[in-house]
Amino acid sequence: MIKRISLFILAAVALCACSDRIAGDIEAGCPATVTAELIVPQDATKTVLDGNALSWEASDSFGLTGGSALYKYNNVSGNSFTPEKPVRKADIYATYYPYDAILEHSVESFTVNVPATQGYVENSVGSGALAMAGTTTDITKIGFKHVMCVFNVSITTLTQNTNIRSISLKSNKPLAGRALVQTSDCAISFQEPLYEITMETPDVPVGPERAARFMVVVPPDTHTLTLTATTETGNTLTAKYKNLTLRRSTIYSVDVEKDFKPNANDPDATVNERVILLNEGNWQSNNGQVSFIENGSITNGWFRKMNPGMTIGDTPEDVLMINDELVAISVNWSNIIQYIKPTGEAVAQTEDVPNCRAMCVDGKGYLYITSYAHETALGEYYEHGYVAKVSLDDFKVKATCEVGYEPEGVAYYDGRLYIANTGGYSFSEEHGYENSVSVVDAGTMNLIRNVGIVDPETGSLIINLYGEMSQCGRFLCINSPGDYGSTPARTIIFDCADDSYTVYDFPCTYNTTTIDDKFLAVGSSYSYDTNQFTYSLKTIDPYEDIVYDGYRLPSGRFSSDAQSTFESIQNPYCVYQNPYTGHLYMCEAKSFTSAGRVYEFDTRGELINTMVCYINPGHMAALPDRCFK
Amino acid sequence: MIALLALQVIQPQVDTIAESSVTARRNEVIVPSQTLSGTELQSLSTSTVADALKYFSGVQIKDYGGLGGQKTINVRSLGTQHTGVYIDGIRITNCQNGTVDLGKYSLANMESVELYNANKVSPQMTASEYASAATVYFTTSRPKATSLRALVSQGSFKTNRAQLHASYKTRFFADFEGYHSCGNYPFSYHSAYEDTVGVRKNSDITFYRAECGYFDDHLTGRLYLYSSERGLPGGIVRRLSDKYGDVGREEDFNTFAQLTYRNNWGRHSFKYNTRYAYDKLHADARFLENQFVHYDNTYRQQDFYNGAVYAWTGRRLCFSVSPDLRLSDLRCDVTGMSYLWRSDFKSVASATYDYDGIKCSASVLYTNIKDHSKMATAGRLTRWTPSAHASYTIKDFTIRAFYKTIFRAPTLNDLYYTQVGRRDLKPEYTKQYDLGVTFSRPAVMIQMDAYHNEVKDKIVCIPQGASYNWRMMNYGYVVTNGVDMSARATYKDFSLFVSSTWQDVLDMSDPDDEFSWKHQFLYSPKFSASAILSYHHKGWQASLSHMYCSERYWSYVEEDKMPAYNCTDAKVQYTFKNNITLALECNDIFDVRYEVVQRWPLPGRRFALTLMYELNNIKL
Repeated sequence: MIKRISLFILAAVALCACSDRIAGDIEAGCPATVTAELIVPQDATKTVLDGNALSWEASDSFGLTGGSALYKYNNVSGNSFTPEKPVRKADIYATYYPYDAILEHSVESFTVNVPATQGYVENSVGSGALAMAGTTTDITKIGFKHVMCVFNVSITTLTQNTNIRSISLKSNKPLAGRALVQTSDCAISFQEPLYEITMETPDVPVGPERAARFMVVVPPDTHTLTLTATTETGNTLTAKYKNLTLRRSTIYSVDVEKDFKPNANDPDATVNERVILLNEGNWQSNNGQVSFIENGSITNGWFRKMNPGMTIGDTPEDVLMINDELVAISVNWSNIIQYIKPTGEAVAQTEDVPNCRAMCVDGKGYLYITSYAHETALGEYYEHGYVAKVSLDDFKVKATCEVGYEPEGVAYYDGRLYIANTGGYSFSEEHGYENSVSVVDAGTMNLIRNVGIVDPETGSLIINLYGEMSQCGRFLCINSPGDYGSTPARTIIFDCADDSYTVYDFPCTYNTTTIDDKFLAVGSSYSYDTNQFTYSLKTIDPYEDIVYDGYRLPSGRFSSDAQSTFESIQNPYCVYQNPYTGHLYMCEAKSFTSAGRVYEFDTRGELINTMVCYINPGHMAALPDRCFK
Repeated sequence: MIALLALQVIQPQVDTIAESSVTARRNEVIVPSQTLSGTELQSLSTSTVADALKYFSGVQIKDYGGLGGQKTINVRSLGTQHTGVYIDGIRITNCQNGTVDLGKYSLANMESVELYNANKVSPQMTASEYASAATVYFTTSRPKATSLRALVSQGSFKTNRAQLHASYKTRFFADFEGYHSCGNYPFSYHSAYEDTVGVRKNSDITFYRAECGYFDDHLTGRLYLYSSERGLPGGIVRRLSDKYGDVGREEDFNTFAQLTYRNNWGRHSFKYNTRYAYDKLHADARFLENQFVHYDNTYRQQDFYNGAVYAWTGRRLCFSVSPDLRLSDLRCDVTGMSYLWRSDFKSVASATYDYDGIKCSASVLYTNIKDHSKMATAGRLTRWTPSAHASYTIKDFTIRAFYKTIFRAPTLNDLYYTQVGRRDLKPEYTKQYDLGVTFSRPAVMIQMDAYHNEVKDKIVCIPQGASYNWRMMNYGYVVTNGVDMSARATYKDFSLFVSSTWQDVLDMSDPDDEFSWKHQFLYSPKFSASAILSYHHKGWQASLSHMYCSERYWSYVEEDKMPAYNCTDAKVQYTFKNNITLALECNDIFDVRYEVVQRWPLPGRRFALTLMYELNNIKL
């Protein structure tokens, strides 16, 4: 499912020094006496140019060019080196690292050898690290100010196979250079500082099994970056990184796992609205129902129509598109993970995860599912709840990991699982609310850490992370309904990249990821003072940290239909945006014993359809057109 | 015996204050009422009082199936908690959730089961008897002579029962009963969507009951102990295997002691009731195969009741006043709940005028309820509620009408249960209008009533606002229009009781929801009917009973209907030499296996064979 994208960032090596200012006098054609101290930004290695000696704290090979001359060195004494020839005054100076990686160079550009495998040593400079360079037209600004970090992107799609034609990176800070790394070569050229750089590429294949790798050299700074990849058919993939501090001597490796959004001109683009809707029914009534919405018309009882003699069971809780051929439905009170084809036929079932809740996939053949239960298929008995790893080859549980009490939402990001713990589902059990997000290594299924969620202003715990959880890139939108009493409802925007989070003082009981990488959150919070519920409909931009009242469309306009529908709804039960088409769905549960309603809004935010579904419509997953080819 | 079964027109004056003697029992026609008693009751093929009540018109028994499953009564679609249940004149209460599980009361010692719509009209009524929208009275058999009785019974699904009963003159009885059933009955679901067959699990029950009673002209006393252990099976839902289950167990311990004193001096009469009850409920779901909520909670309730009534009975006029105080408490280990106690003071004043076939009665009830706890409590609840009855009897016909408004106070669970309770709940009000006629002769009685009632501010548990917060809330407005009919006839050794109900129960909660608005309320049949044919001749006793219930909706979706059903029960017994009785009974003869609550299957056909040995008129 597209909302379950995962990204991740690894810290790594590289070089560099940085200069703010060099004062000195370099004579052309004759040995110059250069004395300069490079005032470096915070966290940077201090680099000093004194006469012919350039010194820096990290000890490694280093090169300096002036004009066409290469001040070759490879013997470094301590933290300084002395070029063989005196440094001359020239038009352009360039520095690069490591020296022995350079294959060719000129004043404008150079070619370096990129090792086939990159050995990373966190926060250290070592040989074998990637080449980096800096340039300046002013010897007084020599050094590594402009280009000192590699932003290394690895793109994997969740379901599609396609070719990437171009990639662009946009920042709120100047970008000094660009780089394209494809196989073993890296070409870097330098330009005037830009805010956006675009690289045309030959067709670079990308798919669930095949990652496309790109490297972009960017100056160390705190950037808010937007990475956009475009396919041959014009489909785009956007990944955003807010306030990312790119340090010198660092390679940021970013894994983007996401499907491309279709373009109107794309013959593969999804033009048909097809959404699976789970109606929870009533507890212990075995009346869960699956509905199928297709271009404004709804088929209720779809699962049982497609599978004569079968019903979905009691309280279907989550639905997730695994790939073009497979959809999973977690049926909570029936202890079943039901797998169906996009056309609705049942394929397989997993029984081994009792009390199953929410799901995510890693795109590598595994499904992860949370469970409130204490016993696992592998014989473990846990005090708390757990997350199970299910192989999609044989639909069997392969591993489990104990997390908090009553784990609810789960998301995959950068090889890790993020699980929102509730602790509030069973107040008759002898435990309190949880206030943590568990981070689990998806590969080994070992708990990495529990991140406690605390209100940064008041220091109070943000508890009971219950209900729907949406994912947008590295961000998660997590609902904390509080204790429905004195502890009010909160929204948490959790950043999987660094386990940081932002707390907003409104609820997101029902939430979804929007097509323009925001979250749409609806909910209500109860106030003891007024004894009333306050309803809210908000659009959250996690990258810019901006909250808009109402449903903000990608165009920047607000949908008045969505607002008025939301206000007229008696009991909202689900909100969902089709990631392929941008249509928004809002579901209403009415009195919980009568048929619910589904409201569909188009990309302009206008209400275009009202459909009657079954009881308690709670969960949705859209299917792209390619599933039906 | 016929005198016992037939209904009699109310006498102008109540001349027997100690009216509890069996033969003096009479139904009043000023208010609609139905009675099953004596041999007719004992010849029914039923074991609990709930099974007997289901034959009354206007009654629905909510039955979660199984032999130990909870059974509650709903009269004229007002809702379970609006029916007051009285044992020997004193109300059984449950301050925690307000419902009385009728499945816990055995028919074995019952002399009669009576239902009154609104309330009984009699000068001897305590205030709490006015405080419900319908009232059910269970009356224990009074000992008739010194005797000893032993009974063993065996039934389907490994059901065993043994009972020992001893009585001394007309003064004292003691009774002991043990019961066990595995409850592992088969069930099946066949539809276009499923083919499920299975055997009910975790539906076993074991209980022990011990009680004794003392009776004299002025004083009656009762001591009761009940202890049970049972499974709490869930609804039948789709599962791939039996590997996991939602297993819960429940242990109950219920005990009460009660005393009634009556006396009269000329036109003055006085009655005093007192009762102490202690109820302990332990619900446990800590079982390995249970992968759902692992609760383990104990709830202890005490209830101390004192009520007195003074009546002045004139030639035409009759006045009575009754103050009534109930102190209840609840102690439980649910996280976030503290010790609670409730004082419930009620007081009623009523007047009856009776002359030349005209009888009018009016009463006004004052209620004052206050809860006390470390926790914040709801405000004091004080209300005045009126009721009025009138009837006119001419020859064998009586025309009657009544109006009553009454509420049920939110229970302690409604108000304070952790996360779910809400302190600002309003009481749930009912309003009833009834117009009826009775034709009564010694051998035949027919009554018919048309009624209109409204229930507003229903206390329900639903998610609040746009949140997952399931909490109690005043939501819902239900309007019922119905006609009840019941008739009774006796001919020689036969007696026949028939009843039927037609009712339109309209959900008028949400005008914006076209599917539920003015739709037949959930689980309410439009039509139901039943008949009991009893035969009693010498040592033979037999009964054949039948019940029909039209289709019911279990949700407001058109397809969610439970089909109409017919259920037939029969029992035959023969007494040899006045002391050995052999009885064979069969419930659900045609194995209909209907459901009352969707996905909670009932046991279907089952048999029981009972052997009883009795020593009568023992000379000590």
